[in-house]
Amino acid sequence: MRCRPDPHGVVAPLVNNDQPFVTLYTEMYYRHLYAKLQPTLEDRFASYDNYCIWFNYIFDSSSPADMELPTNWAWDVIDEFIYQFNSFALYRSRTVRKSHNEEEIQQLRDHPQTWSTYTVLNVLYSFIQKSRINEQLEAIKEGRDPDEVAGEDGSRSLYKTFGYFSIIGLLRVHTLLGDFTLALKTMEGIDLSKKSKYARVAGAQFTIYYYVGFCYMMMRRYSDAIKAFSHILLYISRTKSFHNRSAQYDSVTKRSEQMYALLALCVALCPTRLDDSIHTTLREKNGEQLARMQRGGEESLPVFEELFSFACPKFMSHGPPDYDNPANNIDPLQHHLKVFMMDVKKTMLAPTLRSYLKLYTTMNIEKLATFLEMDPEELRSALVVFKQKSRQVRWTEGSLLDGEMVNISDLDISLEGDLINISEARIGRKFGDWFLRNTAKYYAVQDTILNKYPDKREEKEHKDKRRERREKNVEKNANK
Amino acid sequence: MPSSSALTPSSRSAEIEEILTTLSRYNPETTTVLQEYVATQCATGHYDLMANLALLKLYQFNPELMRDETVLNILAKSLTVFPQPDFALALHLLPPSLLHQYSTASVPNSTVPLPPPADTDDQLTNSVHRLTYLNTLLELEAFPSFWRILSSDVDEEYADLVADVAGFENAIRKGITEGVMLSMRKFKIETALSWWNFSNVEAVEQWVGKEMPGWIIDGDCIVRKDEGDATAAAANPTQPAPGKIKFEQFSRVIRRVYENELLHH
Repeated sequence: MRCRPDPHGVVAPLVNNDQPFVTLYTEMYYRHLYAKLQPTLEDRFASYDNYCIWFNYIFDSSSPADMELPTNWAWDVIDEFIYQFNSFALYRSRTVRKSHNEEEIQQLRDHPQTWSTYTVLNVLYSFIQKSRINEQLEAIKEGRDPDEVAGEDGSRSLYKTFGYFSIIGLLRVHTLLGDFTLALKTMEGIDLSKKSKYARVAGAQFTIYYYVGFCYMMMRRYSDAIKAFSHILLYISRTKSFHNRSAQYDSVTKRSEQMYALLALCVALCPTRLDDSIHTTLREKNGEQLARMQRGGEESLPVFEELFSFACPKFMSHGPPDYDNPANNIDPLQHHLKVFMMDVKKTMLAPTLRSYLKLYTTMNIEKLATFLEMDPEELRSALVVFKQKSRQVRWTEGSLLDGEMVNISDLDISLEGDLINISEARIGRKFGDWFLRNTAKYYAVQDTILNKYPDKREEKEHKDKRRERREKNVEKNANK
Repeated sequence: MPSSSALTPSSRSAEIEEILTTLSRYNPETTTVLQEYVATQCATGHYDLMANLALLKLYQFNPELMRDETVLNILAKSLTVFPQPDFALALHLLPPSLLHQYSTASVPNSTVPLPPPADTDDQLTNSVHRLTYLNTLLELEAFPSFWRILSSDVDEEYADLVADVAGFENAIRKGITEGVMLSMRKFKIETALSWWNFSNVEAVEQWVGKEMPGWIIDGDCIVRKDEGDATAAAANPTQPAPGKIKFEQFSRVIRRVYENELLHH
């Protein structure tokens, strides 16, 4: 694959060096380069400089007030900006750890400000402040007119859009740096239960739910995490046919596979009944791993590690690495994984406990300890851990960090001296839903047999043919 | 619980609130104020997770400002709110090198983890390892081991690490008590002595009177008073709502029947 035409040498003269045009074109030029080719260090520096030019241009009060950018495009700019920031940090630590390219290392040392965390946070916070987006969102929540608090800049759609997406950008950056509480706190203004016009940008939706779900998981609020992942995965599966044709198809597929993996982790840590169609897909994708995790014990630990490493965001460290002692630079992923696994380890016993407890209504600690071949006092502790794990903070209203302590388990225990009382809430199957869904399936089968909508089918065949032709053409062009 | 009240504790001053809600949270100069606030939390028994995490974040950005003592105090403070995940949330914000050599291996055939291995040559690393070990014991509710380690004569480091936190022992006992009240209806005094690390029954009686409203001492057990029939109240499982179906869900079925009617006539 070749680079697109050089922005400064080829494109700029064609458009009489029109600044905004050249900057935006350059942004897309690098986006293409990052996506399809291997950016060099030089490219990384240059794309950073271009972002600086573009942001300075927007922040400059003398820039034309009627400048607009389509919402999707604005999202892509913020999204790509953070992606390149993340990618630079990973490139830098890899270079220092593995490569002996002294020249590049020297260049990195000489430019500590390029793609620095402070700079990136500064851009995002500046957008938020300039657009007064948090004040506007607050006003919307209270049913007032956001323009009242927006001020001159904030009422301009360009700032408003960038401000809103910068909040999501912060959610992402804080998560990448391991600050999960602050990440969720940043989202205070955004009410996920309400549709906003930005919700139409699919990429923004995926990002929000992936990171919100991940942060909840790291805060051990598994039921909230499961809710977030299920919500967006359902959305993705419903709109699949649409994404099939979009340029982001690959990244959506990757993201949704990561979210299924995270969902498997959460379900293993907090047994939960999922939506039927999500459950089916989860079993297809991660069924074997889920089963191993649900069996518990030492053998389950590598599965947790594997899924976490595959599905977590690309963690990065705050500052430049230690250039003088490369051995001191530990991959942040290993750090976060270790802390996460400490929590996982103490639930290892839970699946076995569950399987025994389910069989009885009362049981003696001594007896259960014999079954499990463990010390009765250790078991008493394990039962209290089990009980505490069945209670979790769950969001009910307000900002994302709020929540109430609720019981999330179908299996409840209570210790009476050495006696364990067990009660199980059997969750009735929702027969109604099941019958309705299968009635609909049956209708569909009937229609096919009766060939009821021949027009529709012809239309579809026609469309398919057209698409095939188009794809062939694209291939042909590519081969040229 | 990270409910809204816990996220903004009443002990937080207007100055701290200002730092946490504005960009001052990134200003290295606020480090001093936040450090003093940690010291106050240790002295008074108040606790402010968000402020402590903000300070750890400032340390990440400005490693040269990091004070070992404050980092350790924050970790020790977050032990007092177990089993909430605060300790882990703080660990996530520490430099990865501090935990790199920590081993999570456990005693064979047991969930109890092995104590951290031989000391490294970095003092802060050793201390973080020790606190992490204490946290693991607490989260496993391995209280007898926890107290034994804490009062060990062999390794007095453990006791030193939590010495700055006023009322540390009672805060831990309160945490244990919460777990007991949640999961038990009858608790043997014998177990209570070892879980709470009390040397005599009088101390247990006092504790129950003060910290466990609704519970009384009955013979050799501590029991919940307001319990009638034991087995029935084993728990109150929330009965699931019967499968409710909304009328709208039938729209397809009804339309179908309607269409079929049209077809036949």
